Amino acid sequence: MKKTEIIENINKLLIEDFEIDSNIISPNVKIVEELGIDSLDFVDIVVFIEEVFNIKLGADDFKNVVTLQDFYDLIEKKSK
Amino acid sequence: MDTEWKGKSKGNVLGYRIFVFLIKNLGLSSAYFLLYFVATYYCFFSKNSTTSMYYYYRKRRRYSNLKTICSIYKSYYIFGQTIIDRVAVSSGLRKNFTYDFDGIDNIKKVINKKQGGILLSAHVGNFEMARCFFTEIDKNKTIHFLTSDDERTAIKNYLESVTSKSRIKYIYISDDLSHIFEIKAALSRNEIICMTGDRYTENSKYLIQTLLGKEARFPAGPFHLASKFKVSLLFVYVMKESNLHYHLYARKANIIQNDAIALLKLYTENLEWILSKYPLQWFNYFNFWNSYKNQ
Repeated sequence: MKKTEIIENINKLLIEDFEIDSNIISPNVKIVEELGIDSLDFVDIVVFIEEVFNIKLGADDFKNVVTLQDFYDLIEKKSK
Repeated sequence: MDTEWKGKSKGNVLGYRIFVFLIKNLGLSSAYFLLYFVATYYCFFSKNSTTSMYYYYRKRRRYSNLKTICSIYKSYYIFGQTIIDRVAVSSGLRKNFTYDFDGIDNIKKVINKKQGGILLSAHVGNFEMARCFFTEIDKNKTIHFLTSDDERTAIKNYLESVTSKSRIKYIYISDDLSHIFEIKAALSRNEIICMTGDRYTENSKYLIQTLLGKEARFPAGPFHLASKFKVSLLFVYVMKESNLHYHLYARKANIIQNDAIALLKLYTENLEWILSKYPLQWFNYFNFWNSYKNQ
């Protein structure tokens, strides 16, 4: 999957499912602090990533994920 | 009084040491006998929990004053028995107890599907005795209990040190969200996750639903998880029927995918049903309904 598709899918999830304002979504935004993603949202994200990208994520994968850009990069790396 | 559970259970290690000594050296009946005094003590000196039980029996169950007072005492006594039984079974006295399996086919179906499963229970009866039932059904099945990090108490450590090892493991809810991945990984290994859905803790997300005629807060996590992960879900309760007899109930829950509120409604209906059969085995000793002034 191309990086643009990854970004598009993740942004779509954030806007449609989490009702996050599209104006604040940018690569450098912090996922927890600025987007307000909490533990229950992470359940949705993990399930979504598994279904859409067909990849499994573990707790260690998220250790260095702070911003949306980190998250896009993680999915790209895992889906290769 | 607290309107949410604080994450820690009652008692201290010395009390547990005394009971373990009695069980191992003088038998179950001696420990049960000591409980008469312990239950009396709690009635008079554990004001918060006694108030919560008074509210439950008097207001929610509409018992008379006399029946309420008797029920509070009996509740403490039975709660003590369930702890003693847990220790006794773990210490090798399993054969002393008899069991009824009600809905065992539902559990077998979950295990045979090999897709993992979630068992949702409550702080009623003696859910931790469920491992006896699981041992009979499938000795190799690993069961995970989802629990609060605060429950890693000295009491739990002590009980683990004096009881036999089992295939039960604990997944602790932690800030780094690792528990979500642990749950997902366990389910993908076709293992079973057990969790309770009746104790909301401060600062966590909650859902509101009616239980016994009045709205209460329930933790959102268990219902969100269960409605998201595409695995089988059962409501499971292990209820004490007489001194040495337990009854396991396992009922299939028809999940509406992604609808945690609908699942919570099913859960509270099921919980009301089991409580109507065993009203004395409601063991949430705090201001569950947030219905009276805190002390």
